[in-house]
Amino acid sequence: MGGKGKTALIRLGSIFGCLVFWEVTSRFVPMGLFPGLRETFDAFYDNLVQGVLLVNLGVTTRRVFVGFLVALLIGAIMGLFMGLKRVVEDSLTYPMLFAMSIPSLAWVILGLMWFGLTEFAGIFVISAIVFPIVVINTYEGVKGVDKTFIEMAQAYKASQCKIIFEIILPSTFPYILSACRFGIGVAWKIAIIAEMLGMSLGVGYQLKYYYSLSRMDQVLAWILVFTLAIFIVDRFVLARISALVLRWRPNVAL
Amino acid sequence: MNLSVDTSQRTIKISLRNVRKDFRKGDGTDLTAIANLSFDVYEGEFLCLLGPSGCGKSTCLGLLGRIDTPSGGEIRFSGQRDSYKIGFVFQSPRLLPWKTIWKNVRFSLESQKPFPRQEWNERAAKAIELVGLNGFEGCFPHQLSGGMQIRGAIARALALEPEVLLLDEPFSNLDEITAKKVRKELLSIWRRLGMTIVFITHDLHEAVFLADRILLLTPRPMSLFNEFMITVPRPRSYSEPDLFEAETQIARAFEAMMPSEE
Repeated sequence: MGGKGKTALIRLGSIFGCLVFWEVTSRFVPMGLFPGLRETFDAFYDNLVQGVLLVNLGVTTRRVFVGFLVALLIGAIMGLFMGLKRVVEDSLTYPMLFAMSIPSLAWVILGLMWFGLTEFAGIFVISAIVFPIVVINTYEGVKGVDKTFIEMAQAYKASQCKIIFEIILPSTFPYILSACRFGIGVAWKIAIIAEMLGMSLGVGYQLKYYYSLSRMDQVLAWILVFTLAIFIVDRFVLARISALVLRWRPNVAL
Repeated sequence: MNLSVDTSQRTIKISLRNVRKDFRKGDGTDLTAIANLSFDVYEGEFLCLLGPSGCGKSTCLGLLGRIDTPSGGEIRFSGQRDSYKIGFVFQSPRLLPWKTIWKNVRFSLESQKPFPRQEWNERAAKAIELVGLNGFEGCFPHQLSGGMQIRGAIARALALEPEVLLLDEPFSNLDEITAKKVRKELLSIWRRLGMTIVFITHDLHEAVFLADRILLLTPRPMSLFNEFMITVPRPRSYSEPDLFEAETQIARAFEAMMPSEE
């Protein structure tokens, strides 16, 4: 059997192992505190057929993606300038470090206080948290450019524009992509917290709602929704994009 | 064997007179990389600059390639200054890893724009054909062997149809068997296209096999120690006794230049 097939088999086995562990544990925990597979998947299935699952997941996903894309776009441009221009580098280094050191939960509180219980508040909070991550990573990417490539381009009298777009920008792609994978994970978690504190729809809101009703089966079902969403986005969307954008690299880590 | 130089009948392509190059070091003092260097590069010749590692050969190539300007002295380029096309092959291939071989070869054409845009594809294809990389246009550099990557870098330089081709120890990272092969290919391309080649190396054996003329350069600060003419007819073979004799003579001069520290 090939190495790839073996890996897939072990990975599937590990998921099965987790499910078995879940089921067995639930049998030893007092009723209602840790529902087993059956109750959890029943709740999951009910949500799915009633449509609440997709509606709430859709709302959360939209918040995550809009917030994330705004941060990615502005952050990448800013990181690029930070790496290219000394003045921008010197003037942004400290503000970025400050922004990074603000706790995520503090951003949620700030967003809700400034913008109220609005859609914009959620998007703002996600952008604010992901933004410095993208800036710093892009900046590191520009700093990590292989100088000998730039020498080569200058020897052939390439324009500054050609050097930026064909040498500096492509060398930042691995950095930007790793910022994406890390940033989008953070964005999901923040979205959940923001929704728990101040939104009336979304996965986080559902979690809070069922928590207040002490419905453990529903809580677990919604955690499952959340986990699956992150997993699918990372494995099937971001990993595919990485493989495509970085196909020039000897080994693309998935 | 007579290795003395007779250049009476030749056209000068690039001429260096009393060239000096200083670098400002981190502590503010100057470091002289090249001290008072004078020599001529003749049209169509294969010139090797031979010197110990770190003697400032690459700096000299930067000056010849007009990437850098001298701190003193004068460098003259014959012909029309503006249309002077120079091809570069560096110590490592410096192919952009995110571009295919095809796009890497086009890079020099797109950057310098010596020809109209419609000709770029045709010229890139011709250059790739010259180095024997046809069929590999769509590959990324990491998919090719070291020797093939060097060929790609040579194709990128040739696409410009350079009047002068500057090579900076291009084969030093190859195994000797591959290097022997690529050297022969370079010579055959040179014989077909007839451009002027300046080739930097620290490998005497390589210099003797390739060159019409060898300039022996001193360690930093660099200056010209001696020059030798290699008149062994081409095509040459690596095992030719005349080449071996020339090598021995130059090795003796090299030892005179760098007395061992015993």
